[in-house]
Amino acid sequence: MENLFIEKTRATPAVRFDAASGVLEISGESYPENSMKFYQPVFSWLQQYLSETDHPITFNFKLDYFNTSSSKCILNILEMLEQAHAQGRQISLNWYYQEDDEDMLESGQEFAEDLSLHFNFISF
Amino acid sequence: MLGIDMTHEELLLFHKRMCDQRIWVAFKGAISQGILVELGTVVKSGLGLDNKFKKIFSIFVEMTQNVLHYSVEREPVASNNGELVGVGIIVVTETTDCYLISSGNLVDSEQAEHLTQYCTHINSLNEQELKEFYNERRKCAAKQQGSKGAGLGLIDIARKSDRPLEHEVSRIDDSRLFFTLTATIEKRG
Repeated sequence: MENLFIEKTRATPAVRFDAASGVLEISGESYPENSMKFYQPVFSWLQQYLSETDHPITFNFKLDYFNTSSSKCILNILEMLEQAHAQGRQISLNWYYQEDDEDMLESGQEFAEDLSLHFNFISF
Repeated sequence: MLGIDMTHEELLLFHKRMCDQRIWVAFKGAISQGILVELGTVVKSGLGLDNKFKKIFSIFVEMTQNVLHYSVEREPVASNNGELVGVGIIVVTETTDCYLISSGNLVDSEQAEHLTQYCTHINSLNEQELKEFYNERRKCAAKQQGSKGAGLGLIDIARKSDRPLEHEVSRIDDSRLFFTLTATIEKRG
């Protein structure tokens, strides 16, 4: 399967999904005008990757800021990972936050509360 | 280019008022995503990097995107291939003890009623209830992929604001009202 690489812009994050290594990373800031439109290719790629491969996955969320409509899309991604995990996929989920950014840590913790996935919280 | 009514004296007064009121950002017009990003940069550069300032930026983005998506006054913008975007006003100011982030835009009667009820409801919730309300709405919204926000922006603004949301509507004509919203971030604490 091909990789999915999307360059970051001022309001959209960088997406680096490396099919061979199973390291999938979203980093930067996310506040597009239309989040669903931006994240659609991300959902499609991930759906295909989850159904066509059985690699262990390391998913890195390394976001400095995301708006509420991006937050819905992040939840969609997490739910896809949760479902795959429930079906036996090995998934390691890293939620990065800047050391003094309590809000970003809390955002991750709130996602974690509602999901059966284990989150590793890592400050940088 | 200035209109003929903006004399030197008026412009001086306008400038002085903006300085006195410590207005960081004031924009009235068609709010495209491009404008939002540029204004956002101004908001960010006037701020530091601590959490308080991230909250201000975050409130600014949610309010501005609400105007972009939901204002009933709409104009085409060239940078978006003539796509229609919302028109409104967005202001970020500083007083001696707080930062104020405000927006204003035209809405129809139905939106005015909904927004008033929604903001009143949000203001009646405590921190924990707001958190639950937010997560519940987000879960529903994630399922319906068509919806833009499901009112998540307003809940998020309320969660970050140090005081209840200030919201008000006034009638402009038979079909339209002007809706304003202000969130407050206190400097101390």
